[in-house]
Formats: sequence, C-alpha cells, structure tokens
Amino acid sequence: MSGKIVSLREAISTIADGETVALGGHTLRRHPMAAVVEIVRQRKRDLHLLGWNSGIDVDLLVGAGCARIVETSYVGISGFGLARNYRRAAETGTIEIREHSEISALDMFRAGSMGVPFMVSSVLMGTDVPATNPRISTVASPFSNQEYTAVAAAQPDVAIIHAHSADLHGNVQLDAAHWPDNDADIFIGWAGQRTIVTVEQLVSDEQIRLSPERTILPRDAVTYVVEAPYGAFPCSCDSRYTYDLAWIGDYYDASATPESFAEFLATWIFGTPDHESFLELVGLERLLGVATRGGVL
Amino acid sequence: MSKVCSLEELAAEIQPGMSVSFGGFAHSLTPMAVVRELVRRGVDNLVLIGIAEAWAADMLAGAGALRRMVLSNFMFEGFGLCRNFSRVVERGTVEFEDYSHFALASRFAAAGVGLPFAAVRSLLGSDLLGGSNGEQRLAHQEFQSPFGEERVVLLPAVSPDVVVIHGHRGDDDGNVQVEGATSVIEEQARAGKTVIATVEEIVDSSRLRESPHFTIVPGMLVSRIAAVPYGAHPTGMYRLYDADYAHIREYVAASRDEGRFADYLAQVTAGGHSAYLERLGVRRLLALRPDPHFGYHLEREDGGWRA
Amino acid sequence: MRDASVYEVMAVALSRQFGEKEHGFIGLGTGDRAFILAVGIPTVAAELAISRGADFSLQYGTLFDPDVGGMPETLGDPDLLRWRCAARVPVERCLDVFRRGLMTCSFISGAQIDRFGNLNSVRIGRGSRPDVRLTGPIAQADHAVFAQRTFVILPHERRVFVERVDFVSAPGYGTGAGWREKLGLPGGGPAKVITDKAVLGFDPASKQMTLESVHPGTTVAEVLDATGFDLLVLDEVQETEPPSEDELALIRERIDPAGKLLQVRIR
Repeated sequence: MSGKIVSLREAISTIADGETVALGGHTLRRHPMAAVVEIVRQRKRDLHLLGWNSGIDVDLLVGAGCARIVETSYVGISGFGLARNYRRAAETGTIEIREHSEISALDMFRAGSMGVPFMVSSVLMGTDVPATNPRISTVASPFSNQEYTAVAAAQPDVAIIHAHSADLHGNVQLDAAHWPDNDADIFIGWAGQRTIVTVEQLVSDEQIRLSPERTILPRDAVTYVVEAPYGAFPCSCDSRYTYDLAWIGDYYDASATPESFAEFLATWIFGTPDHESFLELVGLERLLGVATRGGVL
Repeated sequence: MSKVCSLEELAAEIQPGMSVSFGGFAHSLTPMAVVRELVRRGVDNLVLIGIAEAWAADMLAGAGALRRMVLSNFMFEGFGLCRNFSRVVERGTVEFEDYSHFALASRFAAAGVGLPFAAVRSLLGSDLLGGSNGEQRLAHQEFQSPFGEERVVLLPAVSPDVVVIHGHRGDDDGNVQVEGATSVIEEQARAGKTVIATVEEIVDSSRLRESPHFTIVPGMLVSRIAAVPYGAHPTGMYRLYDADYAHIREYVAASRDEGRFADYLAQVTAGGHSAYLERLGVRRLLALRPDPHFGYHLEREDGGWRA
Repeated sequence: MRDASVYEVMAVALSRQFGEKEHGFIGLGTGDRAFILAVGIPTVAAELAISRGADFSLQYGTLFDPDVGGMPETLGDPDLLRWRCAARVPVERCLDVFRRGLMTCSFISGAQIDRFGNLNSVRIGRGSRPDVRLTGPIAQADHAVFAQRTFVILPHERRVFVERVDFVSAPGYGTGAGWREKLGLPGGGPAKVITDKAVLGFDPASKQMTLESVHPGTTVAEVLDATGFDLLVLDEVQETEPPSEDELALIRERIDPAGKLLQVRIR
C-alpha cells in the first residue's frame, strides 16, 4: 500500500557498492543480522561501514569481503575474544579503520539526525584517535580560547536497524521493554539518507496506534520496512529472544582461518537463498531455545 | 515434588479402556500433541466424554481408538462435518450418547462439586431423553421441583478417568494458565479423576503470580504437566499462534477417505511431537504468529490486513 | 576462613580508595577474566564501600542503582531487562553523565599502559598495519577524558606495562605534569592502578607511576620484574592491607555468594 514494505532481497538490492552503510545494534544486541547476511549474500563490495559499538555484524561483513572502511568504537565478539576476521583484515591492511570512542561514535549519528554539522566537546582529546579519522577535528570556541574536539555529522547513504514492529505504512516501533544501549539506533535511523528497517513483525494499525509513544521512526523517516522474524539472530533482541552463544561460538571458531570461514559462509549464507531458509537451517529447536514469547516462535 | 514430565510419560497416564475428556473448542486449545501420542502408541478402546473437542474426537475416531462417545457436538467450524466421527457412528462401530452442550457441561460441573447428579431443564421435550426414533435412552430421571411446579431432568455426574488439557503456561506445581475463550475446561478439570496438562511453556511460579487471574486450573487438581510447544497445533492458542488453516484443509481432505486418513495419521505421528514440529518447519510456524493487538493472525493483502 | 583470593585482595584494595559520596560507572563487559576485572572487582569494591556506609551511586551502563544481589545469570537482553534498578535511561543520557563530569570514579582496563597511565585498547605495533588489532577505544577513552578519577585494573605483565603504548586510546597524564591541564581535559586522570600484584599511584609532581604497596605474598622485585618501564617506588612500600575477616565474610556470604562476580567463566 505504501510501497515501503518490501522483501529483504529488494531492500538490500538498493545498496550500491561503495556506499556508506550504518548498522544499528550494540555488542551482542540487536544488530540487523538478517540484513547483514543478505548484504553478504548479494556480495556487496567496498562498503564504508559505520556503527557505534559493533560486533559480529561488522566482523561478518569484513570477513566476507564486503567492507573497505570501518568506522566504529569497538569490534569484538564480546566474551569470546577479538573479532578474528576484522583482526585479520586490519593486520593485512585490506580495510581502513577509522577509530571512535563510544561518545564520538554516538555524536556523529546524533549530529546527523539533528541536522547540525558537528558536535563539540572535549571527547577524545589527548588520544591518538583523531589522527585515524577525518571526521574528528578540533575547533576553537568562539566564546573563549579553549580548543575542543569536533565530530562531524554522519548522514550515511543507508542506515539499517532492526526493530520490533511496524505497520504497513512504515511506522516503526520498539517494545516498551528495550535495552537502552540500542537507543543509538534511533539516531542512526534518523540520520540515514535512506533508512532500511527490518522488524520482527508487521502489525495492525490498531497495534501501532495503541502506544504511539513507542514509535521511534514515523513513516516519513523510513525508506523500506522488511518483515524479518528473528532478524537479529544470533544477537539478542530485547525481551523477545536472547543471544545464541553456541552459534556465536561456532562462528568464532569458524573465523579462525579464512578457509574455515569460507566454509561457514558457504553453509550458512550462500547455502541459504533467503532469511526464511536461513532460519530453517538454524532450526526450530535452536530458535525455541532463545525465544521468550510464551515458549513459541 | 515436581509434577513435570515428558509428553510421552504424560500420555502414558491414559491406558486402553479408560474414559477420557479433552479441553478445546472449535479450532483452539486442543491438546493435540497428546492425541497424536495416543494414536502413535495405538491406545484403543477409549471412552471419550467429549463436550466440544471435535479435533480430539475426530482424530481418535479415525484412528479406531474409541469404543464409546459421550458428546454434545463435534464439528469442524467453517469446514463442515467431522467425517471420521460421522463414519464410525454411521457404521455403528462406536457407541454414542448425545447430550446438549449445557447438559453435558452440567454433568461435569456436578462431579466437580461432589454432587451425584445435575439438574437441568434443557433436555426436556427432546428426543435426546429417549424419543420416538429409539436411538438412545439416556440414564436420567424427570423430577418435579420441591419448591414449585417446574419439572427438571436429573442426570448423573460424570468423572472421566483422565482429563487432558492444554494451556498457555504452567509451573512445576501444575498450575495452568489459559487465555482466551476457555470453553468448559474448568468444569472438565474439576470433574476428572486424574487431570494431566500440557502447556506451551513451564515458567517459574513467580511469573504466574504476576497474572493469577489467568490460572484457571490450580495445581491441586493436576497430577502431571509437560511443556509441549505448539502442543495444540493444528488448533490455535489465543495470542500465541493461530489455527493452521492450511493444515486443517489437508486434514479435512484426507478425512474423506479412510486410506488417505491412515496415511495422514502415519505422517503426523511418525517420530513423535518434535519430529512433527520439525516437519512443519520454522517458516510455517512463524506464519501463525498473531497480531499482538487482536490476538489472532491477520492475512496481509494488497491494501491492508484481513482477518 | 580460607585465604583471600587475589581478586578479593584487589577488590578490597579498590574499595579503600572510595570516599563517602561517589558516583561510579561500571561497564557491562562479558568474558571471564575481562568480566572479573571490569565488572566483578569494581562491583564488589563498591558494595564493600556501601556496607561501610558510603553513599555510592552505581551506574552500570544505562542502569542506575540496580540490585547487585539480583545481577542476572546472563547479559542477554531478556535477563538484563528483568534486572531491578532505579532508572534505565536512554544511552545518550548515560553518556552525558560522562560529559557532564558527574562521574566521580570509573573503572577501565586495556592491553597496554605506560608510566603516565596512558592506555591502549586499539592496536599492538606502530606500523601502518597493526601487529595485533584489538577491539577499539570503546568508552574507555570517554572515561579517561571525563571521569573525576579513573581506576585502572590490569593484569601485571611486562607486555602490559610498557615503555610507550602503541596507541593512546585513553589518556592518562600524557607526557607528564601539566599535560592534561594544557589540553583542557576535564577529568582528573588515573588515580590508582590496581593489579594482581600491587597497588600503584602517580607521583604528584611528575605524574609518573609509583609502586605504593605489594599484595601479600608478592615482592617488590617481582613487581619491578613484571613492569616494562622504570617504576618509581615509594621509600617505604607497604604490604597491601589484606582483607579483614569481616570483609571476606561480606564478600563471600552477602555480596558474591554464588561467585558471579569474582569467579565467572564464559564457556
């Protein structure tokens, strides 16, 4: 009806090689993994990835050869250790890394969403970070002689976040129970020149209008909405499902070498034509193991 | 002591020859995983005291598991007659006793409060009490009210050997919560000599205490409980998953023919419940998710949603 | 009572650094040793201070004053969202607490530290390509710039305590006295470094790291040997005051009876 509701394949096919792509999510939480997997499936190249606290999302895209520049405050596989694909790419020089702290990473999206050119504070002063990142510079206060850090706004070509629900018009909501570290997604979503939102479920207008305060992106802020249940798997998704540590452990082990990682990609991503097939491969038992919705999917 | 057990252990409470009653109404709330487990194990000679659980009745009838049926009505809402049920009645291979819905519910209710009989008015003047066609003569007694002129019918209380219910969630103590239209689950559970329950999930008791009004069958009535996700499929559970109408169509089509129905039964019972769910697959189960506002599934069509 | 573990010694030593009124920030890191250093030890230390009567406001990321006894089994969202707390604020407000300078103390770690307390969690090696790529600056940079006092919790190894860090991701005292002031860094910088061997401070005049006390069973020579730069040493290095019987009982019976804070394993 609105033309905003499309398949995952369609939404991701609008991303061109070399574009700047911001990804929502935080550590092991609510990264838009179904979209990330589809980016790998469609073999996008030379992307400039932006995140604020990244993990398996960025490591996967780097490991699959989709990224050229990575700009975020952290890339790690939390409790398991360093992100091995990311590490390998950094150490062999196949990606350029532009560093951030959490505050500066959030600031670039905050500025982008607000429409201001940069954010000013003392963030990152005295560190080697600004030298790695052209987005971070200094500015003198017009009110004093004090020098500050300026973090330039990011308005990525494409912002991708995963949320809980949307109506058919494209109004996007989060559940009342959501982990606030992921509120960075709201800035990321607003900052995108094009914004793709995957949601757990498309719901009725009645459901959205029941609690309009939970709408984080009204329809005009959204380019495409894709229904992707378990679209953050293997990451956790607020009160709906937790992370699958066993799957992430398998991923971590597979990322030990390029060869074993290629096999992993062949099985899980190139071996599955779409998100639903990926979920079938994950299997019902595993999904029920992480699900919290009344014992069912 | 925890009452939690596996589906297989739970279903083993039902032995050949016993009288049983199942929760459920129309295309919802029916403990179908237990029904399939009974068929898989070939339990037979059962007496079904069935008030509206069309799904349990028709599948058990089609599996040749029944000796006798005591019933008010069995029908597949929106799909017509229950073919297997009709077939065994028409052939006379299964004995039956017809009641009105309310009369049978009253028999359960009487047993539930420890009375030997129930008094109803709703069977008066019908052939159900033993009419012209001579098909049945129910055990009953017409009785004049000691307080006035009204005549009533006394019917014996009924206590099934085993009552099986399926709920949304329960705890170790056997407390069971059910949401939505619950039919006569409460009367059935209070009437059962033994009550066993499957639930979509077993949760910590503290979770039930957050919404005690949904605990319609208290643990004191329940002897065993098993966590069985999608335990009602292909019937639905309000707010959790909708009835699987595609599956229902396949069932109804298969039930027109005994041979095809035997194939259907072999398919759905092979390997038990987890194999059953694996065969259904993630995609299909996800498609049953309800709209959170309405509590049931909406179909998307160009231009909007359709119930 | 059995002897204090090294983590108990570290937690108690840290708790003795706190004043009567603190707002402390603890991240929500995962992993076994990293979790113990970044979350477990600061949490136990703060709880010990609270049990002594300190008004200690604890902030775990976006949560304020959660029930420490009810810390969830996992850091998966469904468990975390059930963690009872006084406030759960949007992430930008959580980070504004840093920038407003409201954090009296915070707790950081890293892969390398130098004599001036500069920390590195970005890379090993200074070439155009790193020898080892680490995780990134995360919020450590923000703690180090903005917190009134930071406490650095580290394993005491030569490869960690280095002459020069390969990348400054969290600033300490830079090149020495006056450096932070010259740049206008609002926070106070590192107050103490607490390791599995010792407690170290910073010389008020030169801002160089100084050995203040060694933990029971450790010698000054061992600490110097595990340090890759010339450490200043107090004239009279004390033994780190070991946990009292009361403190051990508090930790083991009240604060961390299940070992969720000081004895965790991820897999």
